[in-house]
Amino acid sequence: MYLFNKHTLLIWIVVWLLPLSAMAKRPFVETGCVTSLELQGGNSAVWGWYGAVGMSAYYSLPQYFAVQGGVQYNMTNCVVADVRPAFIYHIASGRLHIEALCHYTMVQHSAQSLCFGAGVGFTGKYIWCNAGYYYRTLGISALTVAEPFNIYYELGVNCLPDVESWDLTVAVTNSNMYDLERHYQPSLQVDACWHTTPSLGLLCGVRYKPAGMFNVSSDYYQLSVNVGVVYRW
Amino acid sequence: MVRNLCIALFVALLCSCSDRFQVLGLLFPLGDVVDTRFEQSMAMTNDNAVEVYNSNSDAYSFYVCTDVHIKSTADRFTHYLNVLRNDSSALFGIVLGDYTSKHSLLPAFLDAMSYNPATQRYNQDIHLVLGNHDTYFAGWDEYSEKIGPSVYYWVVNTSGGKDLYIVLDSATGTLGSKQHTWLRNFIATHRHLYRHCIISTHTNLFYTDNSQTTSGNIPIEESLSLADLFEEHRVTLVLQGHDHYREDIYVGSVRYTIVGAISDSHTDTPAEFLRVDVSHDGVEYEWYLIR
Repeated sequence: MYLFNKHTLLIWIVVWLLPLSAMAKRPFVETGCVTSLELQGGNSAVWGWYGAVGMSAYYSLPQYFAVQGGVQYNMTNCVVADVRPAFIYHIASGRLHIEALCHYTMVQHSAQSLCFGAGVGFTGKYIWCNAGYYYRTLGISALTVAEPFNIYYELGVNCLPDVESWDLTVAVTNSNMYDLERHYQPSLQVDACWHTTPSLGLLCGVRYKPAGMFNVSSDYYQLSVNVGVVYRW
Repeated sequence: MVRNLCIALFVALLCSCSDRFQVLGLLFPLGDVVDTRFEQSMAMTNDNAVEVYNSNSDAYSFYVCTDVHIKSTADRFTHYLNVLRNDSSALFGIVLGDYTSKHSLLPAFLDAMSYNPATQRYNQDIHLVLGNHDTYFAGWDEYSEKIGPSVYYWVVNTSGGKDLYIVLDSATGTLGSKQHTWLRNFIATHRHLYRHCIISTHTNLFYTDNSQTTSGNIPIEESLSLADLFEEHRVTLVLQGHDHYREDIYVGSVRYTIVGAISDSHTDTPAEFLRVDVSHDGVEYEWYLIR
């Protein structure tokens, strides 16, 4: 029996998300607890038009430890779960972190992928970046195929660092909470969050993912829009 | 800073002058996208089998090679054709894409592929698969005109049942939504009518080694989705090229084989091609190395 499957997934949701809170578009930037609920709609080369609902949480203990995780259910019968605990170290220009990741995807009836990894990152006022290595196994029913070498990365820019009520970020990444791609498969994402009150925010984001970049013959793969609410406890 | 920027721009300019790659293809589709190629392919075939072969017995053979990458010579590819076209049990050949390495060399590849009665006893058909190199410099226009569709299928009738062969277009790293929809419907409605179902495509579904780290596979979600589809409908075999190095794995009950390149320019490694023997029991391989 695998650690993650359709049956144990509910347990993971309870363990990681419900007691917590949180969502930070930028990795490990918030303090305290934040929870978000997101709806995603989009068009993908695999699914055509689709919709998905995701819930994610971020919880930060004072000073040194944080964890973020999320679960997304796609109406095409795909489930994604991601958990990243991190150790945080504060420096004058921002925060450094070391994180571990566990990412699980189940597609339709039986195909699944499980990733474990670790990485480092920096979050400053204007930019953030993180990068790491992950190991993926995938297969049908059993995880029989091991991918030899994968890195994940994220490079983002905070476009409105001095505006209290708005976040606007642009990032290039092959890794977000609901999508952990091979290193040659980056996507571009733009996210905005309007903090209507100190504890409540409205999220909106757009993601574009091409295919075939390293075929030197790229093609459209996926365009999606996320909307959601963020609540800071 | 300015100096580094100038160097980067100069390198980008040089790359853009290359007759091998269109570097901007990294970022943008520079020709017809896969959905367009699929629609044009369906218009060419009317969604009918392009060929029906008849085998008198339960068993027959076919030959597979890939990544010819013609520059000036095609000696190894010619050797493949000579072996195939002197084998009376072989019904056809398949080439899994990437015929050229430079702009405007598709006619040279087609010349190399033409039947030569001096060295070949039979004139079996060669079924071609569109590769990523074949799409460079608006290559699809020439390919569709001189070769034909990038998505099609054919049938082999044997005394033990019918076999279905499907060619998919993954040249730009994805099947695209229209081809996906067609494939799901087609397999769901046709697969049960056939004994074996063998799929040929260029880009690898799975990333299993670092033999060619610069080549991309299809996105992970698409890999999983196709693996699920192929498992559900008991696809017998999926043949792929692109990576230049052999791989032969099972994912679930489906066999996924990457055939190594047959290009003359890859002299550091032996080129190879594959003979596949098909029977009621399944498929058996015989690998041929060309040094």
